[in-house]
Amino acid sequence: MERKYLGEFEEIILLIVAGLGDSAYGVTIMHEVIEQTGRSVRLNHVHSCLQRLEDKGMVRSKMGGATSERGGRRKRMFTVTALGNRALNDIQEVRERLWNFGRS
Amino acid sequence: MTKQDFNTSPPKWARKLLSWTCPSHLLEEVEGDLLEEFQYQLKNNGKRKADLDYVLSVAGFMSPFGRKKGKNEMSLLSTIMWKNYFITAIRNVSRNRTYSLINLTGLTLGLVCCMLIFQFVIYENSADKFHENFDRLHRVVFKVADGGATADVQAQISYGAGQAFKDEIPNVENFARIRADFFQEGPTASYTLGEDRKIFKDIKSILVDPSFLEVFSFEFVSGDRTKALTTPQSILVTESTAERFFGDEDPIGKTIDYRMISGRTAVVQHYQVTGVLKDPPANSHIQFEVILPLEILMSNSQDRVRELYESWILNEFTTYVTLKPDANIAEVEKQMTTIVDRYLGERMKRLGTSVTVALQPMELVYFDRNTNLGIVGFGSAIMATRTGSESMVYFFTVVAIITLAIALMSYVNLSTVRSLDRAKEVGIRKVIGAYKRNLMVQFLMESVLMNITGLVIAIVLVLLLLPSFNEFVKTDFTFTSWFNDKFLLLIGGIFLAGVLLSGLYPAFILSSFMPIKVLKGSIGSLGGRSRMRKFFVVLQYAPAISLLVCTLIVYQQLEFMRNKDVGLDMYRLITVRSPLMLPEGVATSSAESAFKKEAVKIPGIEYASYAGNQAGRGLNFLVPFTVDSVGDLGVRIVKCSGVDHDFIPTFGVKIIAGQPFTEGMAQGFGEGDNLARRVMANVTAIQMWGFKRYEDAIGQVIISADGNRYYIQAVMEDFSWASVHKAIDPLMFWYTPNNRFMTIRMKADADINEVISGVKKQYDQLFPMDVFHYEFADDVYKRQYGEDEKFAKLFGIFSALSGIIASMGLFGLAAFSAERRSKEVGIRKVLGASVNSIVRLLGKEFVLLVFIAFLIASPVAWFVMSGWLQTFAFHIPLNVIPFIMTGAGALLIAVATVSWRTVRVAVANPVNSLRDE
Repeated sequence: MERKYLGEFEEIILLIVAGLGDSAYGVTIMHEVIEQTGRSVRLNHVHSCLQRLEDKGMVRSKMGGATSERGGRRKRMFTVTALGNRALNDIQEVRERLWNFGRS
Repeated sequence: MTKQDFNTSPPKWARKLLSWTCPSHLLEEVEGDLLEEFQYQLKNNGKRKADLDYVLSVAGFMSPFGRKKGKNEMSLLSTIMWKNYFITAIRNVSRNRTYSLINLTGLTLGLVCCMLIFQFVIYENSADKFHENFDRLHRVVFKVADGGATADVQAQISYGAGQAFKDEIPNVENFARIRADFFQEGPTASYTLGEDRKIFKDIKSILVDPSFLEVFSFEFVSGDRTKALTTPQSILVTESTAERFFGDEDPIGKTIDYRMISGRTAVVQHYQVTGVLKDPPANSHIQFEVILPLEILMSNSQDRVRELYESWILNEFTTYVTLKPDANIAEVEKQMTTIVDRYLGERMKRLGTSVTVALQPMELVYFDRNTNLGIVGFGSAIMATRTGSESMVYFFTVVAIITLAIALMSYVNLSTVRSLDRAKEVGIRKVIGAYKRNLMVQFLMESVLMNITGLVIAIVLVLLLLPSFNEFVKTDFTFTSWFNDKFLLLIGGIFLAGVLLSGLYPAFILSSFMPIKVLKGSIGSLGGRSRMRKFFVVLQYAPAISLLVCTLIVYQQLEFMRNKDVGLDMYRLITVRSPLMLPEGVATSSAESAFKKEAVKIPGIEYASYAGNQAGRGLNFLVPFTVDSVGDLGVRIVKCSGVDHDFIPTFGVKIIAGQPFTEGMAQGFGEGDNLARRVMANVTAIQMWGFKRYEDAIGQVIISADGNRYYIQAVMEDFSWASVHKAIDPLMFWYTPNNRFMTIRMKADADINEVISGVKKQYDQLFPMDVFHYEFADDVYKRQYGEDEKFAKLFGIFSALSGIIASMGLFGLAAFSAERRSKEVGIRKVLGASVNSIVRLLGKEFVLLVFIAFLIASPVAWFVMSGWLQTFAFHIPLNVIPFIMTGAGALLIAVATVSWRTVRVAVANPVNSLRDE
């Protein structure tokens, strides 16, 4: 199967979604990105990236619970698909190989 | 979730903005996320940061992010539904055949009107644009000022001006002069082929420089363009003229006998055809049937006249120049003025006037009606022109717009009202899952279909009407003249406007129905909406009524003009023209006197008189006088002609002082330096010269601005020689025993045909080379009103059309309304109401609306018409009769249309309407 390439930011988002497990949605993902990478991202960056990932088939989404904080609006929860997992593993493999390449 | 959380929220406007720009399938989670983040920021960083952050994020979401369609949203352009919309639209139309027909007819009529008028407007506005040099072409005019208020603009200028400009001003590239061969009438030409002789009178002939063919872009059909006008005895003809003269034969090389009007020779000249031109287009202000080289004029003029030409004094030549592309107009004008000053400066100063030269760009020439055609001295007029009327163009544009507006409004009204019936359909569609947008597409599509059908039918109709329209408006439109950017753009624009206006409104209303309400049936008659409807009815009827009132007034004025007491007795008068083509050696004057001598012998003729023109054609001999009147300008023009001693009795003119002309009297009074021409003047002239009583003028000698002396022998009562449009001109007649036009008064008991054939016999005997030509005087007189009549007719047609459209709209509305209330009517009948009271009930509101429209329309019409009537020197007083007539008519029609259907409903058996429940 043809490998779909991931952009750098997409990779980060995907990793974080994988890491957050059940509670991955817009706000939480954004906070993790800020905390872990120090980048100052906004919700629109995160959302558009998530949309691209969904189009590529790396994540899937479904509507989740609503809270009063959100004025009764539901969240869209994201989880990594099998394809997404495979993509992440592939990337990691390649990275490690390259990392060891120059240094043995 | 503290109380604080509830009280603070992100800026409302940002939230609104988000809801507009974010696609609906993402909106919920995005809004939620933003809100949650806002709360977080609020807790940690305070309101300001939270707000700022929120706003910035919203801004971020406005980017192309998320333009992809959600999986749940139906695509707007899904073609599957179109088939369904199409079928629904057709079904809808066929179910309500009457309404659809009314709608369609109204729309089509409006479109037809618009198309015809706009075509005309565009045509007029594109006048003269076919010339290649169009943007560099200018007409040179002299502005003669005499210290008075306004300068006199003369479009005929000196003979030598053109050449001088070309020689001395580098920016003048080329020039061309035109001089119409015309004085009171056009020239006569004939062609002889063996035994067959064809004679044509009153030809449109112009004398031009050879450069004419370079400066203007009149197409050559055959012949050598470069040599055509340089051969001395050459003549050019147009295609249609060639056909008239030569039939199918090749015109080139053939000889035409031509009797010129200008110049003073009675000799018939022979000219060879050296070229054939395409007929000049109808929207060219330069019109002609034949063209001759200008130098013919010089060689055929008396020495004295030639001197006057060469000294720049006689202004008879319309001159056009082509300037170099980047010439500065003002500068060129100044240079021209300097040159003119050199030749005419002295003379002008003596007369107390000054001349400046102005350049009129070609695009303004066609509409220029203010150009003074008269000149000092021998008098002449350019008749080979066609002038457009700017006001007419504006005026008909307004009419077109009004008509179309009425049609559209009617359409919108009817569609809206009818669409209420479709509430159920809308409800069901919504329940099944149609979005508002889909419904709008559906209704827009219906409107598009209707408009396209209307457009197609309109196009067909216009094509059919085109020939008669052309006849009427004297233009030459064809189908191809439609392939003009402006026209297509305009039609496209109208079509679009039609679709949008007639589709959007109902679309909006219908798509906003709430399915529940609709299916339950509680939509009812939408009280608020009916105000709109009423407004529309008034809006349709008001302009229609105005137009109709105006038409009636226009016709009134026309009748008035036609029947106005002219002051002349036009009964049984015919005019015969003196011959132009005479046998060798015969002088014009002897021919004319011989003719008259024979003519009066004919029984049945009471009087015969010679005059310089026919009644109704105006007088072109102009003599200027300096007048010391109160206030304004110094120079007034008196119109003159030569008449014989029978003029007064023939025309029945009243002499109120002095002695009329007698047979064989001396033309002059006094001798030597004191010699003055004997004249009879009319009251207006006498008043102009400042005489208090008529008797005072008798025996006085007055001197014109160019030094000629006139002895006043008699005072005539005013009569209208020319159109009633203008005020009566000051007139002066001098004595000549013969002239160009003979007017014959027939005895009351004479047989007209016999008299005419008798005169013809005499004419043919005496002048075998020319052709007998006669006209009834009052026909000639009435012909002046041709343009006004045309205007009135056109106006009438369009007004009637708008009236029809408005009425149809009303009919549809009334019928519909009546049917909707059939249940109510049924109940009323059961309770005992009479048919009468029901009809009155249903119709009342409509009739009231028409009445309101009338009230609005009247002052508008009054205002407009009083302005229009002012343009006539003699006009009817603005009275209420047309208003009353139109008002009554409108009300009557309204009542009729409304009651037509209402009666049907009122008479129906209540059982039927109530049973429906």
